[in-house]
Amino acid sequence: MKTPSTNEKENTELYESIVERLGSTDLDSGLLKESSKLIAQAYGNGIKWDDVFPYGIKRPDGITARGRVSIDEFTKVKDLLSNRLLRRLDIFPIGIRWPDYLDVHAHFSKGRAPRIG
Amino acid sequence: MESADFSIVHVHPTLSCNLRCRHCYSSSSPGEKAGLRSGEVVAYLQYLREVHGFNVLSVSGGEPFLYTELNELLEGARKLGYHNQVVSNGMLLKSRRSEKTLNYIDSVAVSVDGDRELHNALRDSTTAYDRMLEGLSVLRETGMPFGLIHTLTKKSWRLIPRLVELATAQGAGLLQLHPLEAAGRATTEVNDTLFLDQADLHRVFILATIIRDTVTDLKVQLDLVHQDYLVDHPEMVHAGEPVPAAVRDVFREIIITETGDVLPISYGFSPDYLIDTIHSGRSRTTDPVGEFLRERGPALRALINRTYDRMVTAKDEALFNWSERIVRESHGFAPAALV
Repeated sequence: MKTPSTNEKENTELYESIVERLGSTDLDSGLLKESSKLIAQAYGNGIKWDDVFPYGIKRPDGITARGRVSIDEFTKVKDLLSNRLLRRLDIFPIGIRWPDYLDVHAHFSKGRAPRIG
Repeated sequence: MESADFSIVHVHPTLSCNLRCRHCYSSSSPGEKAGLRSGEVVAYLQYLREVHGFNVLSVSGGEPFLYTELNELLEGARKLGYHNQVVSNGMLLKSRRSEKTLNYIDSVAVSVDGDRELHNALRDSTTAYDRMLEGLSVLRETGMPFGLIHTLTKKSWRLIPRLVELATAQGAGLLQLHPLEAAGRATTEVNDTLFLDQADLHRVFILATIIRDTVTDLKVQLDLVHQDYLVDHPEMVHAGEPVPAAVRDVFREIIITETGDVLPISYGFSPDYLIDTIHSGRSRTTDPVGEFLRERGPALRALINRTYDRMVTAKDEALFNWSERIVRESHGFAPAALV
């Protein structure tokens, strides 16, 4: 059996923190449903999701999903705009290390009107 | 081999098993002793290979390593050019007989139901987990490619990060996550609270997607499809296509059950869609699969389309296990009325 690398340990910690957040009994089931819808819409559109986290203290009323997409497939991100609970979409370059990729942050909740950044 | 090139024959040569798992979809147990004749299975595999291009044999059960003619089956299939997979509980791999058997196998899938406590509880055994780990060490030492198959339950989804860690540490190439199905013994011996509800399925879908996108050196496969994805990709389940002209236009998986019945798509499919039996001399034709497609293809197509339509129009559900759904539909849908 091989010894887990630092990266693997970090991944386990990330996944366990996601389990903790998704398992919160306070999390609105409608938001859970919309989150998986968002992920399904993005599937095949080249977006790789790195994290998802509910926001709102004690009673989460929204979800943020963070991912990355290659510049070549950037135009497909527009499909995310059809999600009715999308409230904010931020897209920006990752930087020098990954010049061909863009960061995608999608926030959605049942709250305020959308803002595209 | 690309996945698009796979056409799989799932063979359940026996329901004999050293365990009596509470959630077993095929109700296998130590009390089941019967087994198919390997010669008959190999003859049928030859027909499926030469006429319809099937190229992967997946042996399941029961526990395949208890099947007395496993070596003959695998050796025969390999000579025909099949890629041989075996689905096992991993407990019987540390033996001289298994050592020989591994020579005929190309990859192994080992079932893991969670941590030691949950795994042993579901398998009604105090040693199942540790002996499974011993089996994984045998696979690793022999350089055999292997994956882990996990049956997702309400108690186990939170353990997914640990399963990813286990799979990575053990050197598995695949972690398959399969939601517990209401089939076989699971319908009578598993508490209802173990089945995942839609909220749980959403949690699992989100978590598995992130793991799939971030983990390296491990393929993560979740046996769930989202309604929205199906709407855009009916071809994924061959829905909406014309009446099939060839097997791969309508299904890529064929099942040979412990009784020798040949069925399409998945174990547990209604006998209304029986294709054939492998037993010598009982086939009505030299190409029973081709005849099935000609005679019953429209009925199977209607079943597929109906299952698809129900999934994409469902209001209260968004995530589905396709094979579970179509098996369920196959039992409640009279094909004769649609031909």
